[in-house]
Formats: sequence, C-alpha cells, structure tokens
Amino acid sequence: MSEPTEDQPHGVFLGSLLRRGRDGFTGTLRADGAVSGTVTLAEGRVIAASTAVAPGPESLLLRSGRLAEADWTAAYTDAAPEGRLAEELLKRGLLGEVSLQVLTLKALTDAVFAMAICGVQTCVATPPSPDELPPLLPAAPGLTTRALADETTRRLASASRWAAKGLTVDTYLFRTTDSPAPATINGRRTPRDLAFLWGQGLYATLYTLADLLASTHITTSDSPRLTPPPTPIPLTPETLPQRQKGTSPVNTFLPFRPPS
Amino acid sequence: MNKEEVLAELTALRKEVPGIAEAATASIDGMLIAADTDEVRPEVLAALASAALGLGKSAAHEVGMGELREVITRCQSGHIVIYPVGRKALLVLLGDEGLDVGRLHVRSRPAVQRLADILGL
Repeated sequence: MSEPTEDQPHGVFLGSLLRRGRDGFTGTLRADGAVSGTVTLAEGRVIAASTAVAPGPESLLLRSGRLAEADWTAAYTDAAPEGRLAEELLKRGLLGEVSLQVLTLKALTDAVFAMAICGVQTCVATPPSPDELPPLLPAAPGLTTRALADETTRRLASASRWAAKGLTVDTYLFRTTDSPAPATINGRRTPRDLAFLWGQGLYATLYTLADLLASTHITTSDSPRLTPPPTPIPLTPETLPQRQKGTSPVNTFLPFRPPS
Repeated sequence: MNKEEVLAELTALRKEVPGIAEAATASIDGMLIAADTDEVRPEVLAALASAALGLGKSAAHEVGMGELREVITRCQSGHIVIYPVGRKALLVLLGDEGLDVGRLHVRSRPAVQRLADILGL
C-alpha cells in the first residue's frame, strides 16, 4: 500500500505513526487537530488508542449490552488500580481471551481511523512516565504500525466514497418516511454520536449508515433538527424570566417522574 | 434578548465539540430561556441545573476555593456540565461518555461570554 504523504489530511498522523513504529518507540503519541487523541506504543507496536470520536473498550462493552454495568464496575474496582483489568475480566469469565483480543484491537483500530479521518495537525511523542496512567485495556501484543496504517488507509478510502455521497463523521442523519432504520437516527445525531449510542465502532457505524443511505432509508444534513420547547415561556425583551412566588404551574405540567 | 441568537450559540457549541447531545440556557433561578434538547424535559433540566449550580457555588464558597467555574456530573453513559453565565444565568450541557471535557472547557468559555453578551449580563 502507498506511503501516506503529508499533503493528505491524515498524512502527518500516519506518517508520524509509521516513523515511531520503525524506531521501536515506547510511549504515547499525542495527536491534535479537529479532535484530539492518543496512541500508545510499546516497542514500536500500537497497543492502545483513544479519542473522543470513537467509542473505547468500555463503551463498546457496556453500550452494546455485552457486559452488565455491575460486572464491569466490580472488575474495575478490584483490578483497574493495579492495571490488571484485562486479567480480571478473564478471571471472572466476563470475556474470553479471543473476545478480549478482538475488542482491544477493534477499539484501537477504530480510534486511529477516527483521528485520521477528522484530520490531525500536530503529533507529539512523549516517552512513558511513571506518573502516567497506562491504557485500561491494552492489546497484547498489539499491531505493527504498518498493518495499522494499511488498514486505516483502506478504511479512509471507503470513508471517502461515503463522503462523496454526503455521509461524513459529523453529518446529521434523518430517517425517511416509513423507514425501517432505527428510531435513534432522529436528526439530532451524527455517525459519531450513534457509534457511542449503539456501542459499536465508528467505522462499523459509518458502514451501516452507508447501506441505509444507499437504500434511501436515511438522508443527511449539515444541521441538526431543532426541537422547540414543549411549553414555551414568554420572554420580555429587557429582562430575563423571573420566578414569581406562588405563580408557577410547573407541578401541574411536569409531575415528578416515579423512580423506574 | 434574542432567543434565536441564544439557540444559535447552543447549536454552534454542539457542532464544535463532539459528544454534546443537548443544551439549554436558563436564568440563575431555573427559568428556561432557550433549549436545544430532544429527550429531556427542558424546564425540568433548567430547574435542576439551577439547583446543582447553587449547590456548587455554596460548596466552593464554604471550602474557600474561589469562584465556581463549572459543575460536572459524570454518569454511566454521559456527562452533565453546568456553567454560570454572568451572575444571572446558566448554561447546561448534556454529553455522552465520549465527551472531551478538556476541549469542551476551552470551547465553552467564549460561548459563555457570547451568551452573557446576548443576554445583556
């Protein structure tokens, strides 16, 4: 596969990643641009990556319902402070070895794709520090930077085809009339938001959405749907709304919700 | 005060920081001014944000840590972040668990100032 060049939006990032891989770097590569994120390397292999644009292992496990919140919390409390969460999840039988391997590789590959697609302007490498918290669930032994860069380039090519049809990471998605698409596609969420909500990777989410878009079950827009407040409060132009004692009908309109 | 301008600020902030799902502005005593919300009840959110902000201010005052900057509540699947807007209003944001809180703080300061200007505070 061709070498990424710096005139491409993702070139700085993937180029920097490949260089650290060749150097056998151990430490953290911090990427900044439209979004921020980190890539953790051990002896030149990528063992973890994290960004706000792609769900991490915790979100993938909990939001998808593969793991119950109580089980996760118990394992986390017992093992995360000593950095042995992966062993604890295996010990408790919450995940198998293969599942854990797939999960960690999926999360790091997706995070690197997400950073690359959003555009990285600067990359700063820092060696490991004893004060730094290690990744919660590192992949062992991780991926070579070459394999990761090749996979990311392949995904970026797919994403570029979807972008030509209007589907990008930050477009808002609307269901068409009588669409069988999930109701969570409601005009207020982007593919990134849906990835977190559904507990699946950003790339997998874009893939699903591309199919729905191709079959005209959804449409895209640059702006979200705005929902007007259900009970608008009249405003006076000069002052902020003021509460008048004894005049609020709030309890009539909005009774307390019973605990579920 | 122009409600459309307030709404435009809320929408712009949502687009600028990945992970913000809903946003509302309210007076400091919890009366809703404008909301860009979907699944939550905006009037209730405004009232609860007012209470949470008041509690944060009282706690900050009690422990002598200076002026309150924001109140953050982290839940299983998201964040509730409340900023004071001047002395008479507040901004409340709901974000998912992936919300980049550091980026939010950087981006929200100018938005809070613009909201204060729009509201004439």
